Amino acid sequence: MTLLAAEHLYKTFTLGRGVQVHAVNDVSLDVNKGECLAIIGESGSGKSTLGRILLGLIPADSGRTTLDGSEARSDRGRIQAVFQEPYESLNPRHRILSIVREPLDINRADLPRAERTRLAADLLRSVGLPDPLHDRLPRALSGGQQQRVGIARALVLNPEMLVLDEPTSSLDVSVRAHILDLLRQLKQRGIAMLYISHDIGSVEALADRIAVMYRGQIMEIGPSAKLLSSPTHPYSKALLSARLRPDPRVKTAPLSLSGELPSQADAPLHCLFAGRCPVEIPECRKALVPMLEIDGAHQTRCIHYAGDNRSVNREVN
Amino acid sequence: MNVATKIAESETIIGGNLLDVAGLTTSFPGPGGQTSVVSNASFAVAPGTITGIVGESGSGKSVSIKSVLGLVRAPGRIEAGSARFSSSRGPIDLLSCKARLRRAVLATDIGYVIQNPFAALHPVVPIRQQFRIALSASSDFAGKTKAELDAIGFEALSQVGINDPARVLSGYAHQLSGGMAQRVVIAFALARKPRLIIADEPTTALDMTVQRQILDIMAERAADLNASVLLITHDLGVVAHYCRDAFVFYRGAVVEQGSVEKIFHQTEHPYTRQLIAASGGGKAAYDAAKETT
Repeated sequence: MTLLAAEHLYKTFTLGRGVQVHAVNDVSLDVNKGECLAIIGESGSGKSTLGRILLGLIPADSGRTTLDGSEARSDRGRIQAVFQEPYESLNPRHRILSIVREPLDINRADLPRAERTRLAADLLRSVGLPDPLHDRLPRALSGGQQQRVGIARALVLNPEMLVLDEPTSSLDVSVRAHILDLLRQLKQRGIAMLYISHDIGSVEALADRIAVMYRGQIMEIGPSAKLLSSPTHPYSKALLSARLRPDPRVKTAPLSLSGELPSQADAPLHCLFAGRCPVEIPECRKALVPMLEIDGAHQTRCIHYAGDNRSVNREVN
Repeated sequence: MNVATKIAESETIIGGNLLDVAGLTTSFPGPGGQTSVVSNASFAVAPGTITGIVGESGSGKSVSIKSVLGLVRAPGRIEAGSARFSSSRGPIDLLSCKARLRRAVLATDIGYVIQNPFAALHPVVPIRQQFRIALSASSDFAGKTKAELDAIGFEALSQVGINDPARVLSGYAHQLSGGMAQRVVIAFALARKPRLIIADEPTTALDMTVQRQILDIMAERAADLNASVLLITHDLGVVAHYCRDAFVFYRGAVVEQGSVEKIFHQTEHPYTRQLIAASGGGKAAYDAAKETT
């Protein structure tokens, strides 16, 4: 059942001299109750901007976001954020218990203070931070512990959904494994997630579905296992080909992507991957490509999967 | 004399390794007095190979490298050890030799790439000028004219996959993306034709796709020059893909060493096993990691 739905979101930033950057360019997606949808893509693909729009931190230029079918922004606390840099996102002069209690102090002032303190302390314990740490300042905690504080703060209002923007990318691998473990427990408790990351390993461990973003657009979306094992869009293939597995016996194919992410200024009205695409055909530059259904939940924005082009597609694959 | 014969000559002197660090102990003041951050660590780099140093934050991998390069400043102290390097001036011990000699050897024979390219590049000096400064520090380039140095810079930039070297040379660091800036730093390191490139987390701040492009270029160019690379990283995928040998650091000590094949498939130390499992990311590997932690 759909929890969050976004329809035709656009967000353009204006740089100097009237240069327009299309950070989010017609994105539609939905997240079901209790589901983890991962957004993967390179820096500058618009995945963080999309997360900020869904959180209501910045307004979209156009498009609509609904939560349970109604306009999302009225009910604060149902979607909460976990950020990339745990230390940067915590007030350095507040003790961690009061950091986690603060959302309650603001939104649940009806509860007695002792009750708010109790709720915050319970939550800190449940994310693996024992009592002796509760009156420490953030800087006295390790990076992994700081991220647990960030997660506890996001949970304290009992949200239905978390938006996590690269929550493990500043952490060491062993710490990352523990944070992923915590996130999986939260998922089992029915909390939906939008998990923004470029770390394919953690996406594989956590996501039910994956959306691949490139230059502000979703290029492919589908069930996690299927998209990772048989990506259809040439950009998804390229992105996944960059992955290095921790095993010298796995022979990694050469990177099928050249050049860097082009500037997003003035996005052309045709396939945005044209120019870097190894299987480009003239039709790619004739019109915008819509999302094309491969089967059910698996969709791709590649002209080779359009009805008339299926034969072409078989050749290029 | 070409690089190969130079190396062959020095092999007889230091047991075949280009760099041989033995018994390195480096300490910093801690709450309970001077504390060893690196204790009795030994590692080596064979000629013409890529060697990995793996470990998590605080494992001592960066401090080890800084010790070898003479970058540990007071109150940090190198307590013991040697770092024998087969330089173009003959074998020297980088830890005990005079600072002046070490600087001369670093300028000619060792390229150093750090994690943040914007910390390595000067913010208000044009790239062209920085190239001239970096190159003229090396005795190999003494007496070259500015035009000759600029030509070497142009060549070096085009070899690391920069399409428009002239524009980059006349520009500044802040005009570059992270990936481009790191290419420039690698071009600096390679342009002097060093025997050894030390790269400390060179792609950690970059996207996965850019990481692949940059490491591919670094590996290819090092092979062209017959140079060795010492690659410090916490990413076991990078080690598995690019390195021949590796050393695993844990709490300031080397806990496992050998060929990458041996480290990944005949793993001896439980910490290494845990690290490999934790970085797999897939559900099975992930569950295995959870059990051991």
